[in-house]
Amino acid sequence: MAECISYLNGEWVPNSQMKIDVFDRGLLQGDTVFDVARTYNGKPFKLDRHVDRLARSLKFMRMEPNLTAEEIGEVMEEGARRNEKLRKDVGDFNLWCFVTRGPGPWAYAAGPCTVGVRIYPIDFKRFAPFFTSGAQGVIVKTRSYPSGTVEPKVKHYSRGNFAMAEMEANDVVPGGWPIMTDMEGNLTEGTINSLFMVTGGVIRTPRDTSILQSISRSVVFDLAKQLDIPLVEEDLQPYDLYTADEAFVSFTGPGVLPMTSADKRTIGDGKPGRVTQQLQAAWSELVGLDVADQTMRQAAKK
Amino acid sequence: MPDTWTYYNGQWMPRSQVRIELGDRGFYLGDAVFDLFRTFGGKPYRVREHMDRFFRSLKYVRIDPGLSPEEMTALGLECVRRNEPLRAEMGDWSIWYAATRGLGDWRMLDAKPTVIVQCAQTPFGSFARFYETGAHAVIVKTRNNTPETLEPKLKHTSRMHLVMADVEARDVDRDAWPVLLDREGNIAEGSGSNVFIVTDGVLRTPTDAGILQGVTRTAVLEMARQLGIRFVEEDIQPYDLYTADEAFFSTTPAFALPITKADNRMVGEGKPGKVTRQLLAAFSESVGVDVVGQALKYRTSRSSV
Repeated sequence: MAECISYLNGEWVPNSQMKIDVFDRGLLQGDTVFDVARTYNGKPFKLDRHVDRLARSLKFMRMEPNLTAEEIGEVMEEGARRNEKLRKDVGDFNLWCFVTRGPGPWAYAAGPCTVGVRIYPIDFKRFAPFFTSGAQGVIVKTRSYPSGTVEPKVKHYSRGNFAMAEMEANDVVPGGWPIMTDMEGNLTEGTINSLFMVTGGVIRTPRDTSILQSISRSVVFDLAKQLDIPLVEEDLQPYDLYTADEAFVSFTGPGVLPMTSADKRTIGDGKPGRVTQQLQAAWSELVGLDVADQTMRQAAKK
Repeated sequence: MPDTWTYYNGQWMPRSQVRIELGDRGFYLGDAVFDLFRTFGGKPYRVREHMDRFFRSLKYVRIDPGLSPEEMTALGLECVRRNEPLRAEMGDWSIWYAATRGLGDWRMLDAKPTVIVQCAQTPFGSFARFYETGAHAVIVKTRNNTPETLEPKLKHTSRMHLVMADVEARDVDRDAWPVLLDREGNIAEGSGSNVFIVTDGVLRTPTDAGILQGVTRTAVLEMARQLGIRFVEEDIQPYDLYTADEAFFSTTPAFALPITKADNRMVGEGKPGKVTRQLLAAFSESVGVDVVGQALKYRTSRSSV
């Protein structure tokens, strides 16, 4: 299969040649912000929202790359175009951009920033099974960072807690999806996803105090409004998830995926829920392709 | 399991005949405190310390069992005596005594405490193998109670958090024992055990703020003093357990039970540690029973507790 090409510090290179200086603070200090959009039918989805969030991440972290967030967004679009000829084969692309503070002994004396945009096929195999079986959630003891430590709204790469959460979840259920809580014990998010549940016909999701301001989450909000399903943001405890009628996760890859168990308790009847399926259908309509169908077809290849 | 003699509200009877009233608050509200001592070679161990703790629990929850500490102690010793003929088969006993607030409505206007003293085989089968292999300690997300909710120094039967902790630990490894953290993330205790670690030759254990005041915990610290092992009571985090040279649980039935794995990380060399074995040997000598050998010998006999 032909190779994607990606952007690194002003140049377009094959992905296998994307190389970063080992003394870059992105590696040494996790001093990196990033964002990931995907394409549907080759067109970037909600790129404006991803660019806005990237701008907020850069502002919070006081990074000043030689491209603005808007310009990085343009590079992402260009990347999708440059790799378009491969799309028939791979389905769609992730557009992954990152900015590190570059090399340097102190944050204030570092630079120039490293800017990259990596274009690569969506790994449909990674989440295809969950459309039917549902994800199995595991609430882990590792907590989300409170805003006073590493601000979780920033999409950064200082993610040691995510790594621990993934190990822990896998200890309980092989392939289990970690769910974290905040320092008060309220549910927050997964390592790659936002969390939703449905109780008595109402969609409920944690407030954004200790979570990423997820783009997929904002799309779920849009669709709930469009479908006239009530949605509340509130403090939710493990109890609420265990006893919910249904639950689902959202993230950029598949949009919405059902979660059918949490800590070995079956959620609802253990099958993808009605509201979840409604949202999935609306999502497919919004993006102009059947997301589950595309996922299954691509995952079945080779 | 043979039918042991049990004391129930003023009468001695075979354990199989004891029936708790459904209206007993100890049953339907978890409104009871208890304690437990064990025998070594038939000899009761640290009865006074256990009885003192029992009466501290009673005082805190304001249950008056209608018996003095001396009378309660006498019942415990009588329980050992009455069951002595069965001991050869069972090895040794755990003597469990409890007081519930008794029968009563929610305002407790007519509550009359229920007092039980019962005898069961020390549950060798539940822990004996860990003397050899070491236990897998799993730090669970369920946190320990706090003094503001239900004081953890109380030996209380409202133990749902400890039940959840056991369930969680078994989700990771069906043979694992849980370790609970306090609200701040410091290691608190196990479900019915205290936690010790050894780092660079120093024995370390959480302070008793927010945990049960384990009688065996105190015995371990006294033993360490006698053996010239330095020890410290301090706040300990999961990091310290994962990276310790050795670790163990202290419990009344087992004294010291090695921990060789914590959250799927090998502790030390993954074998029962030197200090743990030293403490066990010294303890065996002090009680005149090879506690490890005894547990291994009786591991397959059935216990109902």
